[in-house]
Amino acid sequence: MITKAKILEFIIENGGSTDRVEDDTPLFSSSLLDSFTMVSLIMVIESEADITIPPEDITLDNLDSINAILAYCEKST
Amino acid sequence: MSQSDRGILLLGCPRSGTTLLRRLLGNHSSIASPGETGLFRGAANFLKKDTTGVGVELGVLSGLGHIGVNENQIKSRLIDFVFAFLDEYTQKAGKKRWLEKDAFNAFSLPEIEDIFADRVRYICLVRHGLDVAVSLDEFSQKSRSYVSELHNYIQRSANPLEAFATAWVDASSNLRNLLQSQGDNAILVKYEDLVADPDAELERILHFLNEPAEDGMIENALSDSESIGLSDWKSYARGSIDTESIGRWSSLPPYTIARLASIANETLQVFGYDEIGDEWNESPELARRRYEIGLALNLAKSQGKNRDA
Repeated sequence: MITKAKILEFIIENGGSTDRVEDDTPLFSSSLLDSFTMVSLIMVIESEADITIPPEDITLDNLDSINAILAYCEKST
Repeated sequence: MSQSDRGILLLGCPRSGTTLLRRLLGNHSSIASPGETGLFRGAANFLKKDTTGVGVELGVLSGLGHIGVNENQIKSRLIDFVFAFLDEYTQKAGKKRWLEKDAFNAFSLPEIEDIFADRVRYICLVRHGLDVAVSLDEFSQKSRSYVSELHNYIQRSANPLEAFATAWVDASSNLRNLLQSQGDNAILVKYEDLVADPDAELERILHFLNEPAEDGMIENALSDSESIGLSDWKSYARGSIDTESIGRWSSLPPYTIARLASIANETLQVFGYDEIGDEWNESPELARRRYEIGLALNLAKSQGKNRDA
């Protein structure tokens, strides 16, 4: 199961800062996470939530913030 | 001043900060430092030779040997030839000693040391190998070419970053050998220490050279445009010394980092850098999935931008 704590932990482990990360802070479109890190985050989400995200669901609406990620995972499991 | 005190050779793999250090030291009132002259590399090329299939050596040493000129005579004349240009430059600059740096000398170090031995003092500058590889890749793309020393490595590897990491290992191994054989006549400087505390490192280097530290060397060097020669373009684009260029390699893809780590780890540790994880356990299926997600993600980002526009 993916949680807010897990996402924050991932950001820190990958060299990011969570100081200014709120639940609705854009992660990828704001360049807070680069594309390599964002791909890794999506792979962690898939693994933790035990889902495979279809290409059409890989959108900023679904994955660009902590709230969006949690909502998408809840809807998909 | 004795001959061995007059000459200083600044060595390092290309993209290690050698131009920055040359500019800093060249601002000392006793040290004249031209842009890259290629003199030492040129002298080293005199000693390079080929051997035919029947064991006959082809080259300057062998060729001149046939007319009765021995190796020591050739080396002595090469030293005089190289030093004459640099002494003349130093005299014109009104200084006491010269410093020569050529970022590609590191690949010809065995021959350079064979000729010049302890007739010059050596400053060996080392930078993290993966940062060097990243920077060499960037430099080669911008210059749209490979210098011949680097082209040798590019010819042996389809992956430029791996070629450059291998070049760094070879250049650094040459530096390590020279540091060991020259003992007190050589000093090791790490780029990361230099940019983190330039005042302290400069003082340490000047102490090695038996020169006093001088006020304003860093500020003057960064604003000086008089000593521009064949050299590193990037150093002149910066007005300050900072640590921004440290650790750029960490944003490389994990697969690339693992490949480069397997090439550079042993040498990195020799120079006191941390070992980098070189295990890559991702299956081909996961690597393909990573690729698919990356494509979808880029599409999502561009659609988001179009929507916002």
